[in-house]
Amino acid sequence: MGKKITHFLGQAFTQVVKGPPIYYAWILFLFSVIGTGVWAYSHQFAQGLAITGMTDQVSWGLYISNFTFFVGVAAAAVLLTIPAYVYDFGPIREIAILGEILAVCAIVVCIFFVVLDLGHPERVWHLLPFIGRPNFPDSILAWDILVLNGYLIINLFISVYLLSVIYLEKKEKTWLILPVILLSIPWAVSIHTVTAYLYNGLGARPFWNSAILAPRFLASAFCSGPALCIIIFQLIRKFTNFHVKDAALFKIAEMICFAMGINLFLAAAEIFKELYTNTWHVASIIYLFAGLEGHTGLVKWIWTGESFNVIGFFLFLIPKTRKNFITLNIACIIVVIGVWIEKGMGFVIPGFIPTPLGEIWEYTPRLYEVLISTGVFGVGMLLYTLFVKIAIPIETGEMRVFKKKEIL
Amino acid sequence: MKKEHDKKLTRRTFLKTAGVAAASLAVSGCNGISEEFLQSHFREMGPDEINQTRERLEKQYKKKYGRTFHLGTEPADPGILFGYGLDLSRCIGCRRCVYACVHENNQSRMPQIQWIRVLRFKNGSRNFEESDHYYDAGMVPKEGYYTIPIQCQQCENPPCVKVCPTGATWKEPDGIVVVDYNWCIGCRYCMAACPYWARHFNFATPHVPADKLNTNLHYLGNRPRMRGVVEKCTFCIQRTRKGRYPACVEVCPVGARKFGNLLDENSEISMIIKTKRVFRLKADLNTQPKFYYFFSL
Amino acid sequence: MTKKSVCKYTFRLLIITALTCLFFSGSITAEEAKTGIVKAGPKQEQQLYKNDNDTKLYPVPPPLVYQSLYPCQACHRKDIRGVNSQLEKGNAFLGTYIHLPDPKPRILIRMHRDIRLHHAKWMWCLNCHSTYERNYLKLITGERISFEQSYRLCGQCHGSIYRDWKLGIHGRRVGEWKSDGKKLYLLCTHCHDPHQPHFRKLPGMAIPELPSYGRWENLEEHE
Repeated sequence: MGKKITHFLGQAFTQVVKGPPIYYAWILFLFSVIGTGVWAYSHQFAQGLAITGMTDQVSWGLYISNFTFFVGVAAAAVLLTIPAYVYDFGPIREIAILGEILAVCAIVVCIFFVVLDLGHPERVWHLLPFIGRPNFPDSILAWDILVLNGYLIINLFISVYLLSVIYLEKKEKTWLILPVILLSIPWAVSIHTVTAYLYNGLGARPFWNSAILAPRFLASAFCSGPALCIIIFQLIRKFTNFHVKDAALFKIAEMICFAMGINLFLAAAEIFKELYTNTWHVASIIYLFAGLEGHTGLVKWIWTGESFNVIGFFLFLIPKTRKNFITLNIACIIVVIGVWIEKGMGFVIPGFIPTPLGEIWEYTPRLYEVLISTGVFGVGMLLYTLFVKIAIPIETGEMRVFKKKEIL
Repeated sequence: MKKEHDKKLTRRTFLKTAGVAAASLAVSGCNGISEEFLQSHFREMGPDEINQTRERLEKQYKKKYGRTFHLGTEPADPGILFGYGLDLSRCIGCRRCVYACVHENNQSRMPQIQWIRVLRFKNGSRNFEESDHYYDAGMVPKEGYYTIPIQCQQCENPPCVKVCPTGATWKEPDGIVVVDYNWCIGCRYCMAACPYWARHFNFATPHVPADKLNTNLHYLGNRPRMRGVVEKCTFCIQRTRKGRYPACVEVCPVGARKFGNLLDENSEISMIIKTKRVFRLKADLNTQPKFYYFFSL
Repeated sequence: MTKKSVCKYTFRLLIITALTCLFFSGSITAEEAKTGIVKAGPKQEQQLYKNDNDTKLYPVPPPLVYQSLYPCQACHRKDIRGVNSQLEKGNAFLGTYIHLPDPKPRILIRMHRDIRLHHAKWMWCLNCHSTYERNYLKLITGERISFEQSYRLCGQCHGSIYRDWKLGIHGRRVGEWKSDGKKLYLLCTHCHDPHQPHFRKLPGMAIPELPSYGRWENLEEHE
């Protein structure tokens, strides 16, 4: 066993270190992004969250927005798992593992964002059961930590198990892995539901206190995550000899179309309810879409985001544009951006504006925050790249236990 | 019961020590830091641990500020539920309460943190969004306007306590919602949950000139805070637990601020509730504040 | 009529009679029924305001006058030869006064010109200040009281405010919050100028700062 592990580690190391020039360039790029993030974080470490744009008025910002977005990305892996394992759709079954790896990396990114947002990251052990004192079951954040870590473990287990089975050239034990895969489906729904409840359950913030929040979160997650998958799978197809069938991509695109339809419908329902009722609580959504008392920081963003979502919806809806890779890719990119705006800053920030005491204080992320955030994206992408760099040769059969094969 | 408590403590201490051994090794060079890092939740400390912590903190403050501090840890007395009354027909919006609070409770002067916010409304308006937080007081009261000071409402059903992921904030038996600054991880979820904007975060290291510090401290109240934790009004726990009125009550030049025990039917606050028209802010949220606004005219 | 319906009617009649009796035996008096105003029973009021005891003395901080002109009788000397306050009852022996008190309401020209009276229109000095013993105030009953008890004087007219003051609803207190705790009751005159009791405007204090960046970072470097 030990020998196998050392052998695997050796092989994996070779995989990670060796690659074409473009691979080195990519890794170098990621390292520079991460490095900048680390440099920016050193400032936050020394001076505290004061270096961010956050204030008592708007106490959550870019970090928590990104956290919310990436929980969605992680949850979206389920859109690959369901057709792959429940409906046994071949083309997607072949690539489902890449989706699970994406989920793992997205969760890691989420955890990074939450910890970066803490005033005392070194006290994070207070959250852990047994040694700390989690406020369970009262606090939805305690629930969120539970479900996120659970989801991380589940997906890590699924992907590592499936890969190791292939690597060791054994047959997978269905009784062991199938229940876990099936469990991962409701669990994926749960992570985004709990994240929605995190905001949803606050009477103090009427903008978030809407019953359709969790469905909206899920619908938008099922747009952004799979859209990201389509792009990533094409890149993998281009740069490796791993085959991804067009049918799989088009199937995913079809699902995005449904999800985006529902997402737009729910968003419209929310906007209608707020604007038509026109109570005092309408202020946040007015701020978001039209600006309040001359403060219009999010207006151009949200209109960009929502029009991207609408355009993306039609590009996914019309078969001609869905099956044309140029328009498909455009649709994917704008949908990812659209959802990132809608569910990130476009969702978190208006909740704080105006404050519960009616004060309007605009939040703008400061450079440090942006650099730290891109640094975390870098970490996520690096993790995914390395994970995939090892996973693909195993999937394609280039990397096997005790068998010498030509290495990429 | 006691035995079980001890056992729990031992296990907890053991797990803690083991679980964070790596971290404590890293900081074992400086004993004080590791002690602070491994400190238990205030409500789980036995009397000895509370004493040790108190002494450690007093020493630490002395070293930092060069003055002698008294750090109290008085628990809540039974039969007491604190309530607060604010007479809106008297308040003139002079902000004396704001600064009395800042001085009494050692709030950071730079960056500025204030636990009381006074809102000025045009007569006829009651929408918070139309209120002015930053009015230049000049000579008060100003005709055509009225003011509502807002601070922690000490909810009986506090949303901030419900959402705190670590239980670092809780409601004491006498009704005061407090924060253990050494247990707070600084996630600011409570700030999002509070409908009264009563919680404030130390985004930067709080700065109070040493000579301006109030040396009469309480562990759960006005002791000097560190960066990255949330703080809030505690009804001047360091005063009220010793029987004294909160600082804002005593300073109010028009006597608009009232304080007392809700469970004592002769207390000032009980008399106000019995004889005046009272209301509570955002009553529809069912937070059940123990902070009553009333009209005496 | 069947036996059943007889039972039913008897039952209803009984209920109606009982209700009528209840109504007429109720606590509402004939006068109250006529005017539609139901007065709170004396018992009720007594319960609510059981501290309402006019002779009770409250611990107060020194009256402000003690820091300024007091003792008044340094000038308004009552009695050079020691004639006592019997005089107040009208047996004034003229020769014993340096200044004979003139009880006629008038505008003071020579002394106390800084005092502007803006109280009730008909008020003047000797409605409140004892005519013959100026170190004291006097009640409408003629009872002489010290400045420490001035609340009793004010309470003669401002009854509801006086009641609220005693309950701790009106006015200021310092000390202990417990209803039986040690505390000082600030007098009416600590906050209101008795000669012009309407509140004068106060200077307000500084505007809270808007959140600002940058300034903190430099501060960190200094420490």
